Amino acid sequence: MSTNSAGVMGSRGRVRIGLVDLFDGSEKRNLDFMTEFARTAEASGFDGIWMPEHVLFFDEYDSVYPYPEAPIAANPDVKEQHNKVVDGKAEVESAPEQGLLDMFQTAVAVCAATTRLRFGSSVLLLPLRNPRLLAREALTVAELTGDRFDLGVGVGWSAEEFEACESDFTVRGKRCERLINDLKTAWSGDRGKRSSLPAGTTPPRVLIGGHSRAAVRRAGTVADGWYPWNLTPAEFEEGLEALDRHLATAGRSRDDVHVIAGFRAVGEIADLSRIVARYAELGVDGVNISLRMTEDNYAHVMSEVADALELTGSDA
Amino acid sequence: MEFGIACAFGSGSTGSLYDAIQTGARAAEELGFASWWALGDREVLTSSAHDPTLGLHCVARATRTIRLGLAGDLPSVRAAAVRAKQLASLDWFSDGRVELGIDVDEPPQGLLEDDGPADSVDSLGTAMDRLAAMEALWTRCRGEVRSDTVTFAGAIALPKTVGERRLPVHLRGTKALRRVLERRGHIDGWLAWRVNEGELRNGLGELADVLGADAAQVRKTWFVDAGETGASREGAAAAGVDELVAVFEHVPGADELRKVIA
Repeated sequence: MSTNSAGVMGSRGRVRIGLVDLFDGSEKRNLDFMTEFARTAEASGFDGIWMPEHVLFFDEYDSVYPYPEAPIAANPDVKEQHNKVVDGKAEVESAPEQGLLDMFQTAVAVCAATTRLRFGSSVLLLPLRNPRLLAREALTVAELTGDRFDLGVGVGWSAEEFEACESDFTVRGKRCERLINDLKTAWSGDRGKRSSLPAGTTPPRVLIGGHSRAAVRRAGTVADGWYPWNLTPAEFEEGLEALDRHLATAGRSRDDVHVIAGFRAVGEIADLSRIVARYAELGVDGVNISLRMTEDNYAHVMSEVADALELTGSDA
Repeated sequence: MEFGIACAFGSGSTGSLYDAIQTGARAAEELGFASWWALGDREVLTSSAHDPTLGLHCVARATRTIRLGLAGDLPSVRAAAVRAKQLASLDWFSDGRVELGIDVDEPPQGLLEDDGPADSVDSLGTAMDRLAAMEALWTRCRGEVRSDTVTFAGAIALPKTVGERRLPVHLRGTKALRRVLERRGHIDGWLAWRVNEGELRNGLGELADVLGADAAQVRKTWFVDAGETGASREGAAAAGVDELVAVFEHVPGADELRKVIA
């Protein structure tokens, strides 16, 4: 990795650095907090804020959280478990009374408070949505954020959440792919006479979360990008090779997609530049980092990370 | 009688939609309008308007007291938990000003998924199941529901509506009034959507027939085209309407709003 006044540079140009964090609708994380958090991130040189999605949480799950291990900042080839494991089963990293605000309204609020920062879903549980409604919602978010919204989508891991949201967990992958095609069709104007959609708004890019074979195939064939989570550089490189094969099959190239490496930070902030550099060398367009900052320490942590990645003074 | 605004969220100018909504919303509040409504799903489907909930989010951010309403939400086309979070978030951003107008009639084909559940078989039953599920998620620490449409137990849904309240529910039209009352017990309001004065009076009569003395407790809202507001005032007041709402096909500016209350 190299840095200059434009920020982190990788093999395919400047690497956008995003922060993954939560706006939960609690008293502590009120609208003032959201505004200050977003403005601090923007002033510190970060390119985006990304928020995970869960519609519901539960005290107990039969489903297993699939991302309990993350590469260590100082030695990204090695993973360390950061989530709680009970009876050999990884659990999602959440508070006992965990909430999350609606993704789209949060995007509008964050972008209204900033001028260049992007906002993305990390990731939206696409199979839970009615695509007829989502097509319009996503265009509206794009309009109201000034085209600063990225639609990361995934298939989820919690069967409990899917059942409560009236969606068949067992077919979520196929449904995700069909819904992406539905969205693209709606946005392309090929909708027959069923509905009208707002004109003149550019749809958000759709990034596929996850690193399963199916996820990488979807990224290469029907989506606008790939956004895997917690992969070592070797795993990421393997995924990129598969992505390139699928892109070629679809008559596309890496120039047609946006690739982001996301990870839960494990280790010292000073070491983050090492793991970011490894991803940058592989040719990512962006790196998203989950730091799990608190209401009290976020400004300090952002400053430290910006220093470690030499972001301060960067500009879009 | 109070006055309100309803609009499609499309900008009538070349500026940003966000700015147009903020400007219009501030003007509406300063001019003393009591509410701002988004069009129903049925109307939005056939328009090029933007999403109603996100439009209301922008109104919420620009105002402090004005009530925010959805004039025709179709519960039969959305998963209850997904919609519950959207509405609870809107309530959170608006500090508790959201009101929910529901449309329980058969949903339009354009809002049904090709291979979606056959929820049009009993759209009213589906809608009421989902409304009950949303209310459980808004009001209970660990939501539990078991119905033909929705089943969950131990669900943590946060944020909740402000004060963990049930949102005021306004029923659009009277066709399903008896069944809705059988299922829910009461409604908070009744919406007469772009009907003429004769139809308004018929609807009010039906409310009185079904609800008896309780009809007086139901808030009555009459939506008319913005250009017809002046001509509708007298009839609205005489009929006992609580709120007359001027419907625009775009986000109105301050001058258009002044004409409504002139």
